[in-house]
Amino acid sequence: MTAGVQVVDVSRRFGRKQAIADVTFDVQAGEVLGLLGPNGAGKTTTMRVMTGYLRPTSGKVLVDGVDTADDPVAARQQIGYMPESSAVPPEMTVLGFLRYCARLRRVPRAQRQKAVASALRQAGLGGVGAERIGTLSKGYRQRVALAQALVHDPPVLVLDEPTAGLDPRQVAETRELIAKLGRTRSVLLSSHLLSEVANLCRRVVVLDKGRVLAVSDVATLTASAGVRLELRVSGDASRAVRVVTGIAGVDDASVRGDVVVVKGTGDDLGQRVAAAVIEAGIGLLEQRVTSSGTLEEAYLNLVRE
Amino acid sequence: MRQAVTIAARDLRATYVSAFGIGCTAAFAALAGVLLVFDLRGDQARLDLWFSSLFVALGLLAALVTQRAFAEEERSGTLEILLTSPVRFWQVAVGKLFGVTGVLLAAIAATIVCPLLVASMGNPDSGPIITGYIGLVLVGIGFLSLGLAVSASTPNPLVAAAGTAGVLVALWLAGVLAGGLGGRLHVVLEYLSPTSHVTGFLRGTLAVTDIAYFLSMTVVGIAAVIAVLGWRR
Repeated sequence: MTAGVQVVDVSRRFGRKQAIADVTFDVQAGEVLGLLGPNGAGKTTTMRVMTGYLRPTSGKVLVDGVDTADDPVAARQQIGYMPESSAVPPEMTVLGFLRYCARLRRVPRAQRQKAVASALRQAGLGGVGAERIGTLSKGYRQRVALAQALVHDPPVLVLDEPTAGLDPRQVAETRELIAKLGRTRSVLLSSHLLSEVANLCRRVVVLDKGRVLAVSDVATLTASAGVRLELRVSGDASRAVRVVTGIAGVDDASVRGDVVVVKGTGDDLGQRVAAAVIEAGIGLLEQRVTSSGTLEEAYLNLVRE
Repeated sequence: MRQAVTIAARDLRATYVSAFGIGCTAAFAALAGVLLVFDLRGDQARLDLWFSSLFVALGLLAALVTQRAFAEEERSGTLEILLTSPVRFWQVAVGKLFGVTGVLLAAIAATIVCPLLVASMGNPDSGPIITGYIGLVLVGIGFLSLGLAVSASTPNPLVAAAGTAGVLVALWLAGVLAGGLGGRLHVVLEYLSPTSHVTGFLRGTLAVTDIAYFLSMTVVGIAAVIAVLGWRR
C-alpha cells in the first residue's frame, strides 16, 4: 500500500524569480513528513511540483520510483492532493463531486460507491452528502477537499495546510485522521502550526526563501534549538563574553547592543553561566532565558539565520 | 476518452445548474428572434441573412462560454484539482470542448423556433436551412476551440472573453483586408477569414473546403489548448 516520494534537486523559476532551488528530500513509505517554512518560502510551489501541477525547471520527482516527467499520469494516480486553496466547485453536491473525482481518478465502476462512501466517512462528511458544496461552512468545504484527495485510496497524500480555517474540534479530528492515514501511507503535510507538525511528524523539512534549511527528525531539530540566554551585566560586557566562552556547553557568546547573548546546550546552562559571571566579579543585573529548546524556537532560529 | 466525457459532463452540468447556462441559451434564442425580425427580406421566406447574423452572434457566445472553461476555474482554484488528477492534457482539452459544445448545441437548438415560424407562414427552401444549421455547429465548434485556447492562457475570465473576441475580430478583419489586396496575400487572407467559408452554408451547399476550414480551426484550437496547458505549467 505505501509508496515513497523522492524530490531530487528540484528548482522552479517563474520568469526571473527563483521560487525554489535545489530542493531535495524524501517522504518515506509509511511516514508523515512535515513541510515548514514562513509565507513565501516555497512550500506550495514544492507541493505543486510534486503533484504535477507545475513542472520543475530542473530536478526530478519520483513517486514510487516513477519519474513524474516520464509518466505524469501514473505518478499522479499514486497521489492524493489537497491544495492550499481547498477550492471545491460550489454548484456540485458533495456526493456528486466525489463521484466525479472517483471517475477522474480511474476508480473502477464496481468500487466507486464504496470508495466514495469511505472517503465521506474518513473525512467526517456523513450526513452532508446530498448538500450543495456552496451551502457548507468553510470547515466542511475543507473536509470535502480532503475527501477528494482520499477517494481513490492513494498511497501518497500531499496536504497543503489541511487544518487551516477549521475549528478546534475539527482540527483535532483532522489530526487524528492524518495520524491514522500516516500509518499506511506516505503523507507530506505543510502547516503553520508547529505544534501540529510536532505532534504528527517524526521528520520535518524546513524551507526558507526557496531553499531547504534542514531535513531532520523533530527530536534532533528541537534539541538543536538549545538554550539562548540574554545577560545584562554591569561593567565590561566583552570580559563577560570571555568568561562565558570557556564554559562547557556554551557554543557561542557575543555582545549585541547592551546584552550578552549566550547560546549553548544543557538544562543547567543558565545556572552555570550565572555562577561563572558572578565568580568573575562581574555584576549580573539580569539573566533571561529567551529560548529553551522547542520546535518553534529551533524553526525560528533557522529562518532567522 | 472516458476522462474527457467525465470532464464534459461535469462542466455541462455546472453550466446549467447555474443561471449562466440558462441565461446564455435564452439570450442567444432571444437574439435570434430579434434578428429574424430585422433580417427577413420583404415577403420572401429566406433565412440566409438571418444565418449570416447568427454566425456573428456565435462569436459572442463563444467568448462568453469559453471564459468559464479554464480562466474562471483557474481563478476560483478548482482547476488545480483537475490538473493534478491522472488525466492527460488532451483529455482535458477535448473534455472542455465537449462541455462547451453541449452549451452551443442547446443554444442553437433553441433557435429552431425561428425557421419553424417562417415555415408556418411561407415555403422556405429547406436545403439552405439544413446547411445553415450544420454551418452554425461547425462554425460554433471552431470558435469555441479558439476561445478555449485563449481561456487556457489566462486566469482572468474578462481577459479570456475579450481575448477570444479579439482573435475572432482579427480573423474577420483578415477578410476585410483581403478585399483591398491582390495576389497571394489576398488569397491567404481570404482563406483565413471565416466570412469566406460561411457563404456556402448560406447557399445550401456543403463545400469540402469550408468544412475542412472549420475542422482545421477546431484542431488548431485544441492543439493550442494542449500546448498552452503544458507551457504554463
